[in-house]
Amino acid sequence: MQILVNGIIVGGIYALMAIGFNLIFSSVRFFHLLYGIVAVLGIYLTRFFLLTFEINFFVSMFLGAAIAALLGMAFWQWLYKPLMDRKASSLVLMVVSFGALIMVQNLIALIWKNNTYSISISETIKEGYHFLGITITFNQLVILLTSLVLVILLELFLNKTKYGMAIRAIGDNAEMTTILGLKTNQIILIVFFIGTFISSIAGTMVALEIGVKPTYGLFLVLKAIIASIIGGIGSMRGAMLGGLLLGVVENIGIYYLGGGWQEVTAFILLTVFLLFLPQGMFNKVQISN
Amino acid sequence: MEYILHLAIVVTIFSILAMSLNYVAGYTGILSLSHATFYGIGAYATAILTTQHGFSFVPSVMVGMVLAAVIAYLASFPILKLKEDSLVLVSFGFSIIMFNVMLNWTDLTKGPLGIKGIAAPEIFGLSFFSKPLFFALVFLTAIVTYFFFRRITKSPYGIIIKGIRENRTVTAVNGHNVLRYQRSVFTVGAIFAAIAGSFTATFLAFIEPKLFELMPSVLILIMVILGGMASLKGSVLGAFILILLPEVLRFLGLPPSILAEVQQMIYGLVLILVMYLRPQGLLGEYKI
Repeated sequence: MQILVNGIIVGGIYALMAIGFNLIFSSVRFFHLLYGIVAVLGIYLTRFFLLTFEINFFVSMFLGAAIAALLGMAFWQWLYKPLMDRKASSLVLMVVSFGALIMVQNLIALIWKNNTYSISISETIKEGYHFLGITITFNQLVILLTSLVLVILLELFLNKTKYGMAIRAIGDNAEMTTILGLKTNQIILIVFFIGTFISSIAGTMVALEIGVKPTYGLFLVLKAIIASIIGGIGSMRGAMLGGLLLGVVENIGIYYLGGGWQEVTAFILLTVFLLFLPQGMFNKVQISN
Repeated sequence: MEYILHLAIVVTIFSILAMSLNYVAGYTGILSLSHATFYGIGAYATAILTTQHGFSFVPSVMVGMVLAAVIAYLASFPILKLKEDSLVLVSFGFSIIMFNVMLNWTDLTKGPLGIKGIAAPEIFGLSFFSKPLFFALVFLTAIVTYFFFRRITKSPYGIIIKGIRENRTVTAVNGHNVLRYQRSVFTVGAIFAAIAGSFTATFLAFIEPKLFELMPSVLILIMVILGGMASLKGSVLGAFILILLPEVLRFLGLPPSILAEVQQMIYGLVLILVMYLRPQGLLGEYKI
């Protein structure tokens, strides 16, 4: 039971990561690997605000995420868009994205050193809450609530507002949307802002659990990709369920095999899905033949 | 002189790796990020067999080659089911799985401690302990590798695998079993990576899982992309440039504490610049 709860909490974070990733993927259709490292940058900024200005945790998290989100927009405008305009293949964009990921990751390592830092909401370590034989720490409660609130907000935004509908329209058919007279680039910029913002907050949640390190960028984006593919890339609900499933399966793997095999379980899950259910649980776009 | 020889050996070993990956990625279009895994399998085969089981160098290399071939053949089933972006991701996942195996199967690989004291190769009673002799051995292997792949890629077989890269549907319609060709290419590439691994193990006398992680796989792929897809000479050039570039930085007086980061940043920058300015690489014939 405890494994399941832990799995759901971790899965909640993965789900957040996957939703942001999916949002971006469904509008631009390539693997935006930088996504992970920009989230890590957001965590470091959060930590920076927290330590230097000693402001409230949530305010710092918001500031860090906002700056990261602006950077995400900048990457689209100045790194990807020139290549997109030249009709580069998704593979080229992924390679460029990977190159940029390596650069940003090492830049972070140069500025903040290669150590693992932890982040906490308050100075005193609070005891866990016990009920029904399950223990949940204060941090985990925050993680759970933040994930829930963000998912609900995003669902409302995508389904009820004009911009949300435009974003979904681009996801369905970008060319058609342009022909209909919507400003595609502006909408994609908004997508990058929202996606990166979510990723940075999800990243901060990860940091609450296990700390932060420059190399986590790749780790985070891979989890987002795995969760998205499991859920069916392009589908928000799929990403959510995929994230949860990934979290639970990983935790079961850790319980039975030991912590060293966490990544292995994740990738075996991915391989199984790619081989037997390549369209994921909620298919929209098929990614393999 | 010692230092130059050292660099020459590293460049040559990476040339073998880059050429064999080019055969897989450049000629056949399987953009694999798991090349360092097979490199590691070769290195571990030699390290474990020579230090613990009294094998001499040549048999241990052969075991490494066979092992790499078997594992590559099995891994090719899930990996080759996919195309392009998702293929890159799954090959990457495979390399993470194998890295964790090297790290966690401590009975066999001693995990993060690594294996120490790997002896220099000895072939027919001749020890290759001295650097010039070792360089000659590696260089000879690289030349054999070059001509081997040149011969293959110029043969009818080579024309078919290039056809797969250009248009797999047309190749399949012409009656060629695309998957079988891809599988054999992937396996042969892995065998050569294993040879390079055996050399690295005896050259460094010490190996650890970290040497065969993601970054080396990426580095080899960057060499191939920079040098040019489907150009063996390009791969050698790519290995040459990317191994020597960090050394130039050392001479420029960069403090060693930030050298590793700056080095990796350069790799990232090279990747971006090549994609922007010359997607076919320096000597390559086709764009990725």
